[in-house]
Amino acid sequence: MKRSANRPPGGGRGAVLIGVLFLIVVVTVMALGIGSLAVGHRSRADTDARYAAALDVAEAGINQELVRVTGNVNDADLPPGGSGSAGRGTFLVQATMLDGTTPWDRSTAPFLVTSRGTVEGVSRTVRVKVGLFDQPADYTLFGVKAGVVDTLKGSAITIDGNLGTNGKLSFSGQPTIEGSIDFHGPDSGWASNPGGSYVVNTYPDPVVWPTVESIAAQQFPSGGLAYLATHNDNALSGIVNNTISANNGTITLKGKSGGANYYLTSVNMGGNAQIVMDNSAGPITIWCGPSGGTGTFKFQGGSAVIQSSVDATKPVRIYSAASSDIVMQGNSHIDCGIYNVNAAAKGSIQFGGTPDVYGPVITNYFTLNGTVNLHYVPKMFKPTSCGYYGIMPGTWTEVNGR
Amino acid sequence: MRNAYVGTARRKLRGISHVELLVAGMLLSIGLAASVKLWTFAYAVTIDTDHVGMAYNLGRQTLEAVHNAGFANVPEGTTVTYYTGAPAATADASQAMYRVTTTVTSSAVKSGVAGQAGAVPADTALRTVNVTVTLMRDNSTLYSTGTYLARGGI
Repeated sequence: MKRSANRPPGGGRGAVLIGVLFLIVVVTVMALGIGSLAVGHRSRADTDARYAAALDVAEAGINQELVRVTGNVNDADLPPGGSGSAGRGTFLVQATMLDGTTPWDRSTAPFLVTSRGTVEGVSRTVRVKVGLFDQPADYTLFGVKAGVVDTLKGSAITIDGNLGTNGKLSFSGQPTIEGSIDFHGPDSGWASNPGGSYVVNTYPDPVVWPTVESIAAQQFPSGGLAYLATHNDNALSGIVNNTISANNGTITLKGKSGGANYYLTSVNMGGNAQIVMDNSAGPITIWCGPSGGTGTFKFQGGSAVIQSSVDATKPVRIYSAASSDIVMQGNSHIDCGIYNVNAAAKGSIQFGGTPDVYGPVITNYFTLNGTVNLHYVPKMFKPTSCGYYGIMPGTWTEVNGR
Repeated sequence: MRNAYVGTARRKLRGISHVELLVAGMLLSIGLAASVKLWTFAYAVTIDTDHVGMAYNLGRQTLEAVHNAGFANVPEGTTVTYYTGAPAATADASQAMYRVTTTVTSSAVKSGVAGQAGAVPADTALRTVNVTVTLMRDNSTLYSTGTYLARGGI
């Protein structure tokens, strides 16, 4: 018997249907695979983009920290670190000693700065070694105000150390400058031919010195000079009404451990009155205020019990925020650094007699007459612009980088 | 003798192959349509991936150029650069596929106005740099990043 010719090809019921379904499954699986691969690549590209951005954020943290510590080492972010943001991420940055763990002591250089930047869950950590790039900043005498003429009159003036100014300089006679004369900024230079031979350096930018008001605000965050007016050590030495006035006798200002801070609105000494700085127990700081005040500040004497050449850890400093001049009289040994840079940019330092001054004099401007010997004492006052913290070449590393 | 089965089979089989084919064809078209949709989706994602990859490479290149110029030399203000997809920039914005916008603003300036062209940053300034890469076709942001610059820094 013949097989029917009408039997459909394939012979089986639903063979085409099954075949088609199988084909659809195969094609779908392939398409899903392709789609999955494409999505995976897209996800990878996103992660790579976040990875790149995270490095930028980490480096932002490093740079922000450099600006902070250059401005004020007390602003350093110590472990566990300080946070910030840049771009579309956040960073956590900290300054440590070279062991990478011990918090930076705010004075040792070089030290490490480590920053971790995070962008949408992706983190990268960068570490650098930071050094202090110091420009000249230690001066025996410095005139801060640009556009004015600082003057040394006479040949009997001796500056043991460096003389600097942001303004002009004029010599009448030939004073002795044992260090260099440094002109800072575009407005700085000789007002007239000095007539003698000196070592002269010029720098493009003026030196920026913090004002007494800002120094006080930094040391006494509760109110700076205003706080000092009512919270001081005047009673330690029997000073009342924030004034000293004497025509004879000896007035002793006593130091104490951690430093004694005196706040004075007037100092008027005449006759044979003398002031003695008894810093045997600790440093002494005299704050002359208020800011822009016009009180009289005439000191006489000023020798210290512990001279700075013997023990530099017990310095004597005078900070004046007043706009009146600080007058230092007497023929004796004066042990103190004098800082007269104030918000009003007024007031100068005057020396009468023949003093032997051990301590830097940083003032808005100066005119020195007569026989004055100024001696260099290192690192009593620090400007904000000279010297900055920067990355030492070749020290950039990525921690646990891929 | 006539095959009784054949007659019966013929009646039972008549039209079944056509129906089967129609149903199969319908299922196939639905399935293939879905697969084509998947395929076009994957293609679009691949194109997008290309754009993202190009964008973050342009962003990195731009920021590296900023670092290379140095703290004091990076121009203040906003700079716009166009790219066709080649590494080099193009001056013809109409032919460009990507736009890279770089914005630099200093926290303090020696002269000029912070954030505006011509300003000179102060030595103590912290300079904020933001880079954005945009797809010209639809002005969508493909990539953005930002960092700080400091004297003596990275």
